[in-house]
Amino acid sequence: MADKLPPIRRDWVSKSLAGFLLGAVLAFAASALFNVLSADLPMSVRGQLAMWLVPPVWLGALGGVYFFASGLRAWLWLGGASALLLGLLLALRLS
Amino acid sequence: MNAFTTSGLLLCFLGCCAIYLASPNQRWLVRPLSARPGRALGGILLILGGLALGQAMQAVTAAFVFATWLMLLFSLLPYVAVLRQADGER
Amino acid sequence: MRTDFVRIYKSVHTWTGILTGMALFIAFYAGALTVFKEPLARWVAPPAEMRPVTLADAPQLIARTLAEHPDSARDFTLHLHDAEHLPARLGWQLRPADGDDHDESGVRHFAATLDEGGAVQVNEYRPSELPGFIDTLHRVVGLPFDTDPNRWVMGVVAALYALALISGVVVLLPSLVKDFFALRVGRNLKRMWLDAHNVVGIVSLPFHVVMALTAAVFAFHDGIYALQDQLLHDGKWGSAFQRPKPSAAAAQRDPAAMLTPQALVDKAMVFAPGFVPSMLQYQQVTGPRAVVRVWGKDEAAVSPRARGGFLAIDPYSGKVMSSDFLPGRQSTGNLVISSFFALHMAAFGGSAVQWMYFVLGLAGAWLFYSGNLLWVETRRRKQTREMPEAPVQRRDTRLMAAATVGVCLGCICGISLAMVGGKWLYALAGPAVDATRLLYYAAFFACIGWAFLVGAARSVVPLLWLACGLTLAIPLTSLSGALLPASGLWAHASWASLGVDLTALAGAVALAIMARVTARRIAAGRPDSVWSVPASTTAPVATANQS
Repeated sequence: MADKLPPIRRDWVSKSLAGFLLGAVLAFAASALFNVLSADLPMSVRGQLAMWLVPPVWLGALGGVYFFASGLRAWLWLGGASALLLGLLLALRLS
Repeated sequence: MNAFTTSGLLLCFLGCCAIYLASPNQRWLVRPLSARPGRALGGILLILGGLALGQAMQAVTAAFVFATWLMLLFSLLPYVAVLRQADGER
Repeated sequence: MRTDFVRIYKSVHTWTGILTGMALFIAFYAGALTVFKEPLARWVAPPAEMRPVTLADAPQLIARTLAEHPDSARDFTLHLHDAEHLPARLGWQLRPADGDDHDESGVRHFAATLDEGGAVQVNEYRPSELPGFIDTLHRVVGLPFDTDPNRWVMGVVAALYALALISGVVVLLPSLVKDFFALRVGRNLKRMWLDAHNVVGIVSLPFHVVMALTAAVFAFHDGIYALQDQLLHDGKWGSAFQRPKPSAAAAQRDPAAMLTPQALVDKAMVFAPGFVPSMLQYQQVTGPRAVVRVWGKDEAAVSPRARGGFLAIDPYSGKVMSSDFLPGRQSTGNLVISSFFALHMAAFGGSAVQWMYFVLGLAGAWLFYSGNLLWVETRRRKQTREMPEAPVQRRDTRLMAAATVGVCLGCICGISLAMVGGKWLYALAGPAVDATRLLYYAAFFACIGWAFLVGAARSVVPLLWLACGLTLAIPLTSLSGALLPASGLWAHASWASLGVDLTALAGAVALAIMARVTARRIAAGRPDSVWSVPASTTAPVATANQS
């Protein structure tokens, strides 16, 4: 039943900031991951594709962030995803 | 434009018309085409149109042209109905 | 979909839409015209006065031009076809050293031909600013110059536009299937504007997603590259596009030893059947890195740029140096990148797709116009039975209605006036005066001012008729040129140029229909609306519309 679910908090400022800031981290981390994983492509092609990857991820995060139940959850989920990606990158770089 | 491009665009146009006319929201006919046969006919025409476009150009280009043409037709067909309606009222 | 989400995303859609709608109207209207930038350039170009040179004589033209004007050797272009906006077969440009890449104002244009005796004749000329200006309007949402800060404004608009698309889909999802294709015209105005907005928005969503993302990239790519250079590429990004150093000792080369243009064209057509070359761009032909880019189009393939793509050939040996930018012969990675450009600029499938993009672009402009009208209609104060008189409408809806009418119709009026006025000024004053920007902004701000002064209801119909008249003046100006050549006006008979006239004629008819329908709606409209003209002044406006 819909009315038994907890209400969705608006948290405009907190959610928007999470989408804008962590979306940027997520987008650049995703482009870095792509850059590492497609090392066999020529650098000019790889670099351009990595650049094209940033706006869709960033704007996707910024647009989807209002689906989180609260601003806190948005920060936690997006922060967790960013930390995961950055950790993966670090692991790939060290290995 | 070669014959394949022309026939491909024409087939897609007919396919879009069939799908539009099979929608309960269509405004061209007094009653819409029955849904399943209308959509099936439209689907077959679209597939044939897509194949014809694929003969005329590279697959990526054909896919882009196909998508662009469908977006345009499905936006305009409801408006054509409004123009016809406005003519009828005059 | 939970109603909470719909409500939240409706707020997002309303705010992003209302903030960007009018800017995006300008971007899409001017962008739709920019699809036909070359026909516009041909339409507005004055008749050529330079002697034509055949392609067979082109080698002499190249050799003698290079000998007499060494500064052309860095980068010059040989055109394979005649067109009104190309004064001569050979041309080059000199850019100011410190200028912005996108800034065309400081560029000097030269055209070279051979006279009867075979001597080089070079003219410096000023091409009309019109096609470039319409392009700029679309790149930077109506601002006058394509500079970095203006592009960032465009980038922010594009980002908000992307949010508006995402949120619009979320809001529409619950009724998506039930209302697909619905366009209910009738007494319920809000319903009608909502349908009119949704049917275009949802069906052409992929087109708009592509436009939003590519526009954001075009605005911010410098910044993203700079950051990624530090984070991803260890500062080596700049070296990714450098060509290897020539092995032989750099010697001055004799351009007379180059293959003929015809031979280069033949090489390109053998290399890529289906590729139709349009021009040869020679770069650094006297140096060790001489290269010719054979530019052209292939309708069956995706082109990396608006003007097509190119095959890079060594002009001395005829060896193919790179096919990275050749339509239809690109690697998968390059094809993906080219597709982003092609999908923004209609650089695939030939003129059929250009026409589709033109109409989709105008439909996009209509999407933003209808979105604003929907915003106004949603906030209408309705008259109830108990009210003796219609309620005063909210101030914000009155202002928004006036702004929408003024900005959108002002943009249409401005572009039409700039086209017509440019031609008349050239006929009257010659090439020294180019008032494209002045004419555009004069009409644009006059329309906005008039709309705010008298309100949306009283300005919309006269402004529609003004837009209709100015657009009709485009083919009429050409007609005057054809009938009265002594006036100094001119008309070109090529299909590209005639296409501009005929399209403007169709546009004028469409604007006239809109003016008539709008006048009828206002006359028959309800008094409780920003579109109602108060009773005391209805009569004169109504009669003016009848004429």
